[in-house]
Amino acid sequence: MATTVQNSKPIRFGKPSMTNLPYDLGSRIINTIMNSPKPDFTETDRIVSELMKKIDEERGAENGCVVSEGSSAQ
Amino acid sequence: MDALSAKGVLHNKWFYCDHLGSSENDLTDIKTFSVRDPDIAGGLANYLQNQAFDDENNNAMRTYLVRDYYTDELVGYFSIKSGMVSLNERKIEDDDGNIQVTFDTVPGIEIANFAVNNAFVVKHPEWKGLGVMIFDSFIRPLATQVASISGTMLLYIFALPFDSLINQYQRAYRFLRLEKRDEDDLHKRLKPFYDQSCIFMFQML
Repeated sequence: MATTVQNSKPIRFGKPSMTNLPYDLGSRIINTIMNSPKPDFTETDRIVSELMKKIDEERGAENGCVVSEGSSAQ
Repeated sequence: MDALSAKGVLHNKWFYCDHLGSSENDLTDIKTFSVRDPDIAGGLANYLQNQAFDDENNNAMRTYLVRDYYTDELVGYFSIKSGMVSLNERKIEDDDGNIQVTFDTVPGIEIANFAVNNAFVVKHPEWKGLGVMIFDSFIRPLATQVASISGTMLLYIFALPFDSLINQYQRAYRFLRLEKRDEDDLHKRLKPFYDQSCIFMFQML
């Protein structure tokens, strides 16, 4: 039975440099950035809220106690 | 959980983050850190285990470990460093006809590394959104703190070019992409040294 050996080369991922950009490209990029709106975190908040609620339920059920609110970021 | 015994530099109800090296257990615990797809993201585990301490000591990077507040298990980690988007220097003529050299910059914070510990995920398969929680509770607040001290307009990341990851960064983390034309021009600058380019994604602080 013939066998085939495949030489798979790993793909090299690079990070583009964002400094010393050529004027035309850099101007367009900086213009895009400066005209971007601040993020709307409604979906982010929903995901985090669901996660915390899940943990509350699981750990509250494990310990048989009500968990109080923790301190927020300083 | 009272303020006097609060753990880490930041915490929420169930998790906290602290500088790498703050705990005597860090060196041991990071050895158990794993990623879901080692073929793709193995570099993230490798960085934490083999490079992060050196970069921390040199101030080249700030790496934070995220832990379960009550069990101290390692949940994830992220590394941030200062950065900027800038144009190259160019000469312009001012109103008086004098030539000046100028360049434009947008200062920012780069999320250089960011991974959830697969060993922790496997133990809690129903806890969806741990990465989003780390970003929301720790990464973005830290970046906001930096911005309150020194000019910082941007939070950015170079995402591996996989559609599912890019979509997640857009949908759940609210990162934006550049115009396709500009992404293509950026990526051309990488050739021939790299096969594919990570995608620059950003959000305003």
